[in-house]
Amino acid sequence: MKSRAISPIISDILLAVILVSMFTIIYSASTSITGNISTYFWGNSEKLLEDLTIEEAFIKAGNRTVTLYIRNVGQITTIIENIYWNNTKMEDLNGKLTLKVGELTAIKIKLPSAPGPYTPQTVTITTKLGNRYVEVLVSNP
Amino acid sequence: MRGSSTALGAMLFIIISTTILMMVLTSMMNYQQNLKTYMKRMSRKLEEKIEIIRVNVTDKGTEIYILNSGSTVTNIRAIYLNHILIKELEEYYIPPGSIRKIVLNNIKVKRGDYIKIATNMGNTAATIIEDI
Repeated sequence: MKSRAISPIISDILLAVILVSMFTIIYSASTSITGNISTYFWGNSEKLLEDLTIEEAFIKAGNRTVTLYIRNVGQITTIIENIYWNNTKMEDLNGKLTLKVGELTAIKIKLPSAPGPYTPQTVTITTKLGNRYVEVLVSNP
Repeated sequence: MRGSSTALGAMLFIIISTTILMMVLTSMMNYQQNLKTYMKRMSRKLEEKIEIIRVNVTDKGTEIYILNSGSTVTNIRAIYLNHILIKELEEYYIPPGSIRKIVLNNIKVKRGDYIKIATNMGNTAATIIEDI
């Protein structure tokens, strides 16, 4: 039996299809990897410039109201997302609070229960960029 | 025709790989730059040290003497009295090794009052008034 090769036109088309599909796979994989690397570095590089500090806070035992003085001591504008008190979300700011570089804000928080004297209280501030600032405060008698 | 397509393919490959490499390198360089800035800021923060050395009450109000015992210029941003913000300052610099006075007009502190000052780097110094 005489075996016949595929026609030159079909072989060209086949070659083109293989090449295009290979190119598509390699291109999408490389752009995805590159995109991830770029996002990782860009995102983290922005995070490095962000810094917040609780400049002053006073917790009185038996008192449910606390005022937090928060200052942006970083080098970029910060958007505060949430404030947690002992891991319970207290203020759902949803990005409404923007602090420019060097700016100070006073936030009044109503605690779910009045703390006892000398009780450690953990305050966590989360930002839109994904930074978390944790501070432990102790209530005064 | 076949030869030119190979050359075009090679060129396309070079263009794509160069673009990808540039993207990755740019983001890495940006990260490195920001990391450097971050390290500098942290180092400055550690170099900063302030102390409240004296508090005087005069007819006008209260004088707070601040010593910059660190090795870098400090910028005082806020003064708190009994945990409440009483004064925000914009550009109040103290050179290293110097003492500078802040006057709180019409405010007279008394024994047991708590004074706290804060810098633009996030450092603080506090004192409780004992003798006035």
